[in-house]
Amino acid sequence: MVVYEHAQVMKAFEIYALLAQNGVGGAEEVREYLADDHVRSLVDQFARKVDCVVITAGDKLFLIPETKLSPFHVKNETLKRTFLGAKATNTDLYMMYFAIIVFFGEFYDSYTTMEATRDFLHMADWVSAIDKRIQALKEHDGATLREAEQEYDTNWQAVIDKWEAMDDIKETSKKQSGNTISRFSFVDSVRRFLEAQELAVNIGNNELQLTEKAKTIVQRYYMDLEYNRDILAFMYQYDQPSEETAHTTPSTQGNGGETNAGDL
Amino acid sequence: MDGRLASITAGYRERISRIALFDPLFELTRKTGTDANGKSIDYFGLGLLTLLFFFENMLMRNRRVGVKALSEYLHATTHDQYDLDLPAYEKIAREIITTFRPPHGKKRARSFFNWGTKQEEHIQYAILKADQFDPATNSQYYTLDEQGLELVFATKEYYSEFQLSIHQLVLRKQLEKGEFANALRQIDEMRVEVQNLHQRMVKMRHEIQRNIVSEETYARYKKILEDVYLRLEREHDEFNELRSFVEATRQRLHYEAAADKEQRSYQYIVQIARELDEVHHEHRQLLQESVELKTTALQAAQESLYYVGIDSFNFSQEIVSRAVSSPLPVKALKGLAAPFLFVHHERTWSPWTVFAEQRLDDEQDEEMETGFIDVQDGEEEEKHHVYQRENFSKVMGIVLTALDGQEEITLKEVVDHLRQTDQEDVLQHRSFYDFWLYLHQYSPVSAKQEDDTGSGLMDKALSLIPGKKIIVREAAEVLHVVSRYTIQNMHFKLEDV
Repeated sequence: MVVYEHAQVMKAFEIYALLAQNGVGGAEEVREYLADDHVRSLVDQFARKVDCVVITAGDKLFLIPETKLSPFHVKNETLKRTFLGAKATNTDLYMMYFAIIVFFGEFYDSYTTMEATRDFLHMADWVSAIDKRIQALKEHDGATLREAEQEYDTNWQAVIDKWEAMDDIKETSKKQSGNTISRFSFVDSVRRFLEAQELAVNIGNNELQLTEKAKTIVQRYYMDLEYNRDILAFMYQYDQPSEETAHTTPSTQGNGGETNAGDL
Repeated sequence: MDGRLASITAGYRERISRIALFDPLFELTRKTGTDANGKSIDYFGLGLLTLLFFFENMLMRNRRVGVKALSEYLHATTHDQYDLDLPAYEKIAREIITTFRPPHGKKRARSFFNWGTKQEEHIQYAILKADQFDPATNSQYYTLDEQGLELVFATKEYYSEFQLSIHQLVLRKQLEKGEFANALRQIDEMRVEVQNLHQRMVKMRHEIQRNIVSEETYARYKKILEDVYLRLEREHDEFNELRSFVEATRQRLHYEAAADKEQRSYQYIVQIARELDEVHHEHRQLLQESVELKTTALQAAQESLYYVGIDSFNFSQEIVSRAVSSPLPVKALKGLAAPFLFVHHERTWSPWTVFAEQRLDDEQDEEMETGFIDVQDGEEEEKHHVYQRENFSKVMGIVLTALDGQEEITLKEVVDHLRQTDQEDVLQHRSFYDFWLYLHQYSPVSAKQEDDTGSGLMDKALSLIPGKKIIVREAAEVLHVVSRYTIQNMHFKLEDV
């Protein structure tokens, strides 16, 4: 049993509270976090309790949500309301997640280097990259998809249909980035999300660049041995034969059974 | 055309001749050849190795190097890649040497159109030259020619590393010779160099933050940063010297400028001094940045060394492809994207809010305007004046009641009077205090004098006291009237005009 001093607990909580608010801390927090083992372990524990991890990168400290589905992650409703507009459904939201991972996939698509393989991504290329992936999804015959739907109570077919129904651009509309229903305008709202989260910068001409924050997250979270194993485990759990997965998954996640259900 | 733009094409020929140096290497790229297993041979690489080999031998003062030595070296370096025997290497070595040093004896040449002089021009260069001849073995020895050396230098980084020092050196020489126009250009190039350095530092900072995964890389970055610091310091010293040199030149020219013929030079040197200072300033910031990088960023990076990165990770393959190929359930996408999202901020309304201080408007007494006088448009300002005039006359009425026929009263007594007569709510209004402040400021005030203040705010109030004037003097103590207002006590006196 570790005994913590009052001051350490308070310091740890201050750091955690700051991270919870901003997602990032500066040099001062890094120093305090690293200087005291107790403070560090407390902050880590606090973060773990909300399914996050704390990552130091130079003189920055990041609070990053973990891969597993957790009620502490930002609520679907919040994201929909803030970034996708009032009429958005869960399908739109999943399209958005899909667009995000495709976006980062376009930057990190090589086994030979740890760095991003491109300097920027054009919005049009992004749209076609998403389209390519959706086409790959369509390769699965309808039965497989429907089966998966039954099993996980999710709807890939709806995502595909949604995407297929959208025009690349809305020719009748002057401004493509507004509230028109087109692939381009959809991707544009995802862009706004990425920019608001300081993950991407628009360098003009519809070209998007990664920020340092985004690079840090990819290189220090996704490429970290430990977290990477978690990601693989997370994906692997869905590959298990259906019957068993349904029972084993919640317990392996270890945070109290049906926590996932709340968000969906 | 702008003088500066016109000078873009200056030195065009020199630039082309530098680019032309690489021609033979690219000529080698076009050569095709395979080893015994059909593996194609990297002629370009072997060409570069050849240059380095000759360079190394020059450094060692070994002048007896020819085809034989070269083919032995190439064999030793590359035999585990290619299945070739020594005679085959000899053939390759001969081909490479022929490319660098054409057998027809003419120098390598290149024709180009010079956009600076608007003329067709021709440059010649030589990479390799024959050095000695050994009749006993009938072998020819070679060594790098002038441009060959240049080519070797152009491929090494220290060339750019000393660029700023070279600029500084050139600048000094130009100043000594009095070539002021060229010196300005030199400073511009220095500025570009400093900005370039700055960008590299920013890049390095980011690399340090993301990439330090082992003691090895840490040590490497530490070494680099130390080198950078030493280099910046050296350049900084040189800047200081240059500056005092420029200053001295400026002073000298200042006296000569009186003689009129050096006017132009003087203007130049003033401009040079200013621009040099700017560049120096930018450079000094780099120096500070490098110190900061060394102390904070690198130390912080060292602390996080327990981080274990994986060797290779392909986001596109491992995450995106995986998600669609299985396919993973849609909700799993949120999990995969989660690290890019933010943590949920819960915002709730607390019932305790009810007991917090509230700001409520008094609806019953609407004409008593409260609040600060903001920047308003004319209409609103006018409205405010109407209110204030009304309010002032009300307060005047109260004061007159409190006076009760007497001539003199204090603010404190007025306040007490209001409290006794259950009119305390007046004390909550700002206009009451405005009234006193106004009087204090403009005292003595009479109906006749009103024009001077221009606002006419007191018009109505003064109409209550015809033929009198008000004199207000401040008293010693400070009154804490209500929690919101504090005002100095005042003597209020009515006098005949």
